[in-house]
Amino acid sequence: MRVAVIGAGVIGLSSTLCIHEQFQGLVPSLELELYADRFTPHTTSDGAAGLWQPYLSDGGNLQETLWNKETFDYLLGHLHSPAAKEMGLFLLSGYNLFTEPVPDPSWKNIVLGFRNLTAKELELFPGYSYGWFNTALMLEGRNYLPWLTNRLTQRGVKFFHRKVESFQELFSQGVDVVINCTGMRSGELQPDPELQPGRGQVIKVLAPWVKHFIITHNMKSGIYKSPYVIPGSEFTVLGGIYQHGNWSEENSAQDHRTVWESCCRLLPALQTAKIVGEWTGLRPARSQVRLERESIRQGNLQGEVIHNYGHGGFGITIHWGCAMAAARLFGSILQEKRKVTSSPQPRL
Amino acid sequence: MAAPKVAVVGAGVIGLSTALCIVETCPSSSVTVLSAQFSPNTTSDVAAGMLIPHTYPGTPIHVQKQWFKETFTYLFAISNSAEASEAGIHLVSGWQVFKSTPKEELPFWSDVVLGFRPMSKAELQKFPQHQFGQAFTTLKCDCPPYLLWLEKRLKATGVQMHNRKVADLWELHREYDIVVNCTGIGAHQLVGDKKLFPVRGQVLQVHAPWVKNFIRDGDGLTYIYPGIHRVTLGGTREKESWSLSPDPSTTKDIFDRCCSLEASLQEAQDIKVKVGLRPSRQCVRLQREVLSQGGVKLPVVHNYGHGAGGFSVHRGTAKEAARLVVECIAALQGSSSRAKL
Repeated sequence: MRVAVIGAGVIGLSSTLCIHEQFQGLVPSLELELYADRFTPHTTSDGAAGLWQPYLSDGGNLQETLWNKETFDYLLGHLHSPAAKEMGLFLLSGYNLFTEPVPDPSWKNIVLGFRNLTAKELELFPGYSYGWFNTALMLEGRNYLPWLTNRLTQRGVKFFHRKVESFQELFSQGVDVVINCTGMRSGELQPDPELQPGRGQVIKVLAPWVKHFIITHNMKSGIYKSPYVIPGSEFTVLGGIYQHGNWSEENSAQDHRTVWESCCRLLPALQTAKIVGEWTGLRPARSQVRLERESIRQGNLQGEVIHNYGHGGFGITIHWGCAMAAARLFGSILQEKRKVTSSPQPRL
Repeated sequence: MAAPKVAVVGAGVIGLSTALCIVETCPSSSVTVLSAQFSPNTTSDVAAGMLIPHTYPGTPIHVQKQWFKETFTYLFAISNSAEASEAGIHLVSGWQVFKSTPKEELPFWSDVVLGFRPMSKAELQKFPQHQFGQAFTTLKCDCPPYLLWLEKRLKATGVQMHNRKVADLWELHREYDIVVNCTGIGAHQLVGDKKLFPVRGQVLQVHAPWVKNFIRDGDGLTYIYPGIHRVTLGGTREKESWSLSPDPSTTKDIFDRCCSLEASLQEAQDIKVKVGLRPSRQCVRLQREVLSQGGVKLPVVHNYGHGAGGFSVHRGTAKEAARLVVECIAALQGSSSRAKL
């Protein structure tokens, strides 16, 4: 049984690991391969700050809320393991700030110690009159992706550095199941008008005195269009750009100014922070994550595809729940194949 | 009296902050800081500088709370300004955990720090050996940055700083009108205060930049305090020990205790070991005294004996010391005008 995963961001690598962990023992003939044209540190996941935090509203999508929770609980369980530092996993507390009262988020009981901000705390953030404090997790892509890659290599998964042009290309090579984790460029394999880039630009600075994440929200503009500061293990990420439909992967001088000025207003001490980098990434935005099976038939080529893309700005937040859901879909494919092979073949 | 000459002896957090308060309160005075040690060689440089008060048995609680509140408010404003990183002042959140529920669940300072509340069950799961905990956000003063920032502000107001070992306060009576004694543990010898005793603390300063929250065991012996560049792991409280040499078995013990609170510290790098002697006393000695010899008087203001709580109350006690200096100046002016009659 040959399974090919396309995509080596957090979704592709974790889906591969989840499937291997669950099925390698059960399906001795399982051959897992991973195809991608970009590997760490050049994937979208590598540029993300790595903070576990879903969007403010789940839009009624309970499924995604459950996947977020599964991811948080899974990571929390790994916090005390010796691998945590290598994974880039650690606890981080911080602030979400608003200019008006807002309903509590779907994830308030998933994170640790969620509470409203006191008046004194709000004095730290002039212009904001309401907010939350909680402890969440950081999972830095720059560490997590290499860690996942090592685990997969140890397990004998084969990696192929090449761009896959079509699902058929893999089916014609004898692949039985494709796991499509192609993120932003899924549309190149199969057009999907619902998938749009949510362009983001971040500035990386050295500001080691910042020990909290600070995420501001402008309910009118929308998510990630308001300044945010996220301290990592090596540098701090300043952001606040979300441009729907913008495919440019180039850093923009204007966006740099927007991010720099708004973050320095939020945290005046940042003015003395040294800038060490700048990065633009395209969040693979979609009304909801596409996580479903599809049977692809073209001529005499046939195969199963499990789509797992469209995680917007919450890929790291939701990744493990989705990997497990993809593994479940894979399990049902296996079930069906077994039924087919075990039922008596009519002899003509 | 024109430009009273004030000598502040000691250049740790108490000496420097007291000198600054004197300059702020009596701008006409001429202040000089004299010390055998300056940053990075003071006791303050070893301390993590966390604003979590130590309780002095001999001082009324409302006074300690006032000192802490003044200090917290002062540093809160700096942490919120563009100078925060230079001054080394930053907010840090975390947990104080107890193996058994303490008698006093609400310490006197709980409404001064930010967001103080009991830990949830989910949060306590991270500490299986602990039954109870408190979560809050407080401030940390990193040294040397904070002391260097104080020195810079002092120099900007014209305060002179001299490296000088003062063997006897009386030796200053010709050059200075008032002496302020901020010598910390040095007061044991300098003024022969037998009520002052060292409580030796050994700490490790490690590179573990992924540790962003503080963790403190309520027994005060084991703590993890993330600073700007290093995390301070502690510690010990050895009464009457005067040794400034790091002890290797203590180092291992501190490291093990901290790893049991935060497993990822096993990966900490570049471990530096430091020792400081907390200048401990039943209560901070914050009072005036007049030394006299052969008809000559020397007013002294004492401000020492802050033990484990120096950073937590430094600004509050510095302001009180400055008020006492003002009283000394008034007394000198009173007596000098009487002398003119």
